[in-house]
Amino acid sequence: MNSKTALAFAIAALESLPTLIKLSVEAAKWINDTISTLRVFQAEGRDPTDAEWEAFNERIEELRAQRVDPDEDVDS
Amino acid sequence: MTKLKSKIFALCLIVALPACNQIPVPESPAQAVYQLQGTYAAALSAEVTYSRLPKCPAEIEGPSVLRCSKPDVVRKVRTASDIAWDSIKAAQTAVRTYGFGSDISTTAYASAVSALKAYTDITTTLEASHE
Repeated sequence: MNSKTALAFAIAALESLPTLIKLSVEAAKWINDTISTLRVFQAEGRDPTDAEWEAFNERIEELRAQRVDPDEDVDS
Repeated sequence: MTKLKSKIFALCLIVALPACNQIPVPESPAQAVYQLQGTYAAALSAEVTYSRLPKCPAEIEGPSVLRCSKPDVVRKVRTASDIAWDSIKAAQTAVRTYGFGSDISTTAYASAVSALKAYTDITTTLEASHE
């Protein structure tokens, strides 16, 4: 990959992490999970399998479904 | 890539994030997109938290003093979130289908980075919105 692109993204991501972690405990968990998983991929010298991609996508879709529509009443 | 890692490590020292020096630099296109998704998920969890707060009373203007959410802010974040997620999915499909060397993958990845940056920029302002 283009190292400038990677660096630009890494910097942008790192800049947002402290605030994201402060905003949500779950954010810290996602970041830790991603770090752990990437380390496994790198230790094993491989990329995510189709099943791992699908599982990750599914977790994100489940989280997206938890968003409250601004035009709906909040019941919690 | 070693130079890249040292730059990131230097940045970690600046932001003083304890776990930061352990953030791996992606070693492949697929890992890069996976990292994008992880960052998206972190921002998304903050969006979920904010969207589930009680709505702010209408009379509150500017940054609210209560822990509440503003519908217009929720809509704005949601739109950015949807754009980022669509872009990340497109990048994922591209690296899984064509590999990163293709023009399609490169363009898709760049678009995803841009959309995710826009989303995290908005998400991090939520702190000011409900403090």
